[in-house]
Amino acid sequence: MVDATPQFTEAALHDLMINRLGYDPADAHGMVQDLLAMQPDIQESFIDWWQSGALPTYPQYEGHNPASMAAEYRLQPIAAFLTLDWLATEPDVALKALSEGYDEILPG
Amino acid sequence: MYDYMEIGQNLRPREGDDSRSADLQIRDMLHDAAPEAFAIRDDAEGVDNTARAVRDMPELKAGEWEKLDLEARVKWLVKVHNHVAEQYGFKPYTVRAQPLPPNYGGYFNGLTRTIVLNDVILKDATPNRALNVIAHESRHGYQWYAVNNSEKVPADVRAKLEIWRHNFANYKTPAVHGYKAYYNQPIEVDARAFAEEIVKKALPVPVGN
Repeated sequence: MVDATPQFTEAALHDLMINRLGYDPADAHGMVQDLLAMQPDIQESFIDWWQSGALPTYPQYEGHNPASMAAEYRLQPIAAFLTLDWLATEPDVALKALSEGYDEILPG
Repeated sequence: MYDYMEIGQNLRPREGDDSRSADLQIRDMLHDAAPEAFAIRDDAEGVDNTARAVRDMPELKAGEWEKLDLEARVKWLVKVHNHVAEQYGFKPYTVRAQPLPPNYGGYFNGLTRTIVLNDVILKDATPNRALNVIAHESRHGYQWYAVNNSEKVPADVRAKLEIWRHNFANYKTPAVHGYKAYYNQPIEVDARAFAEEIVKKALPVPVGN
């Protein structure tokens, strides 16, 4: 997961998610839009991860950063960045959701 | 369940009989004979009936929850699920509790007809969280039943089925899609609302410590 010259564009993010991370194209489309709409400092952190392959410990929102989100909540990198952005933009709802935990519908 | 001795003379329970089981058997027979008489007219009626049935459970009477050991609390979970299934007219799923990772409440699997819950919810001093979680997973059970039996659900539920069906086929998990996508997807929003209503109506006053 190392890329020396990542471009934070819709096309490059699609390629990253579908061809390198294995996301379903139907999922990737909406998630790319969410990535493009992330807070600028979270985008910067995302590019850092894209280049280095290591999840950064910045920025911090509500006591969380990309690395801690991934570790504490067992999130894949894309999910960690999107969840951190939710904490940045809707902290009350996001903190409530995180505190409640989660369940799953298992695929058949 | 009851011995018939002589007309008008003696209908006495045998030793060890559970009168509630007899009630359930009679209700099952009536249900089989005239299922339409037991069908809910809309979703709100299902919520109210379920909450009423749960509220009347002896385990939720004042001072009772604290007396239950873990095994008894698991049995209570199963009974709560059975109330939901009965009120909404679907066959109950297998329910069990086991250790799961922190923050992971459990899962629903429609194909294996199983609900598995994190047993940590049974160790609380009050039944509120356990009721919320079993109601939530039971609602997923109803959603699954509804999308596969659209002709058997009330009109207001039927109106949601295309969205639910699409969501089951495109389910978002926190680990892959992030918490926001997970939290805001239709079947999770619906299950959360259902569980909150059940807890609010079944436990209007705190139970337990």
